[in-house]
Amino acid sequence: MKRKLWISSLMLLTIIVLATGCGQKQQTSSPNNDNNSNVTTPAAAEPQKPNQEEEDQTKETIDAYFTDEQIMDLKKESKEITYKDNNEKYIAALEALQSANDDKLISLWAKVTFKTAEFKDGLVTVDINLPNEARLGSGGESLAIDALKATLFQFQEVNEIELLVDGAKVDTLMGHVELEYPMKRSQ
Amino acid sequence: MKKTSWFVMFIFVFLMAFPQNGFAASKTGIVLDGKTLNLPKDVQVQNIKGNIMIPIRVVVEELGFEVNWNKNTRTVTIKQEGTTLQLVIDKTNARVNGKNVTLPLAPKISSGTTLVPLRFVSEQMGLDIKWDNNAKIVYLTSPKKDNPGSNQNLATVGGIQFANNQLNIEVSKKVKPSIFTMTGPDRIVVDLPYSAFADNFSANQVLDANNSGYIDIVDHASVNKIRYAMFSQDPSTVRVVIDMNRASNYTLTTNNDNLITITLSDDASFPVNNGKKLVVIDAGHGGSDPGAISVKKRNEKDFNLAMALKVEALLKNEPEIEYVMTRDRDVYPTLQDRVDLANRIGATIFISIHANSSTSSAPNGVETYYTRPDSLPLANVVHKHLVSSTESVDRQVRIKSLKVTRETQMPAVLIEAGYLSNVTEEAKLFTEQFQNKLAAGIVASIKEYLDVK
Repeated sequence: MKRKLWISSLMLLTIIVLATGCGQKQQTSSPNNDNNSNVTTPAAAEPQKPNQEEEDQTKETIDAYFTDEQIMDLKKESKEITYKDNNEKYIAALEALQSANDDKLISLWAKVTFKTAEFKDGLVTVDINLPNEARLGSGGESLAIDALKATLFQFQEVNEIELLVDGAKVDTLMGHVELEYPMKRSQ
Repeated sequence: MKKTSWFVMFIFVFLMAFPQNGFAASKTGIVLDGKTLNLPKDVQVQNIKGNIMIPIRVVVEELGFEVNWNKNTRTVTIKQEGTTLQLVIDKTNARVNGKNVTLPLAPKISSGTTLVPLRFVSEQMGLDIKWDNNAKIVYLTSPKKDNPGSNQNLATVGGIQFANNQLNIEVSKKVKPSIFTMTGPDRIVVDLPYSAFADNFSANQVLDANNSGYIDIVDHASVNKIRYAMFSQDPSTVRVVIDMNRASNYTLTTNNDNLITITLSDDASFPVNNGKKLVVIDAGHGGSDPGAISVKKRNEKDFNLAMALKVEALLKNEPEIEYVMTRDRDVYPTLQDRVDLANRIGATIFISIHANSSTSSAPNGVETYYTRPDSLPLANVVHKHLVSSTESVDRQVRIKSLKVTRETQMPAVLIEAGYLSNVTEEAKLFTEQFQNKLAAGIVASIKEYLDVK
């Protein structure tokens, strides 16, 4: 009977391993969806971690770009962003575009989801999800792309931007302005 | 305990891994062209006085011959490729294509199953036979013309694609296609003589039981569908048809023996600017691009198309003005496609019809966009009529770098006819009255700019 128990345990273990394997796969298939603070800071590792983490956070004031209620022009607002390392800086900056402190300013990116923003060799690759509700008219689309460019190009190290929709290059974001790969900092 | 458990586990795993093995033990068998035929459980090949007798069921189901059974005359008629055999139960006298022949053994009925002499049937049908008496297995080899290997003489079609105004057909070797056009509806027919679908064709593309299939084309202004089928058996011919909503010229290129390309000269049926006034009407968005979504969840692309069709209807009454639509149904030509079309046909002016949307609900009114300075006079005329026909808030003529107004080579404007994100304006935009007035306004602006009375 011991043996039978042992075999049953083995089978159970196999099922557990398989199930865990699936779980891990799900996690890795949605990378960087959020900040990875939970993963990188195991709670029990160092008791002083919370304080230290706060010290690790960089606070920076940047210019974020919006439009007015009548969607006429680009409007600048100073916003404070916090991020742990440079990898998080660009997505923090983009997410700052999604709501203005001044309630007279209108976000051009409110309904878009910024999935990832990765920096390498002067190029920021931004991957977004664009729900149909986020689609704007000609003026709004032009301003939205101008806002994105102005926000990311304020960082001196950024020379080029590639904007992907669900991981893919598209000919246009909202059907009026073509997307260039890459968008270059204008001289 | 241990031994039995592991043994059971082993058997279980073995069965999981090799599910077929449990069913492979027949006493006799038939192997056709290297493939073991599955004999039904109650059916056995019988060796009677040196004659191998096989059940008629096997002849029908596995060898694929056409078989008729006449109960009254107890006659079995077997047909295949111009050969007809007639066998009568318990009679050694049979007929091959109407001529009498004598069988070594009469067909018989054994426990409800009709048995026929395999050698006679097979040889008359051109099958080569070997009998392995130890294994009790009949090896049949079908004649060359029925052998899959005979397809070596045919070119095989590996894939059919349509993209960028081109139909591409991949073939295994050189084929001389014959191409012709048909009307009602307009279509281009491509016949590939001495060809067949490749065995793996259906792995990548739809191919139904009748050896036919189709591809819906949703992103092309004039092509609706690509259909393909085995058109003829003699000679074996694959036919590919381009279904279109208007006629088009085409060019055939065979850069190498493995690719046949038919390129549509899409604009061939369009009027070319020969001094006449030629207007391109561009309904914005379409197909996969819905454009903005209104406060009542209506799609901008539908408004744009409805408007473009109303403008088209009015332009039909203007004999001095020719026009071309970038789309007349729910498809998405890319911005580049729209630009290319207008430039290719040498349009006089280009007007793109859109409806607007903002994140805030406040804005309402009409806007006219242009990019190049030479478009400004057109923009001013169009905008004047846009404001007067809609009686909406005048949100001015604006300059923006939009693809279709920048890269076209003639005066080009894009109108935003109102805000779908504004509740009041959205309701107005979807009324017949508004759309009719706006369509009349757009046509009036075209006539004024082109100086047509």
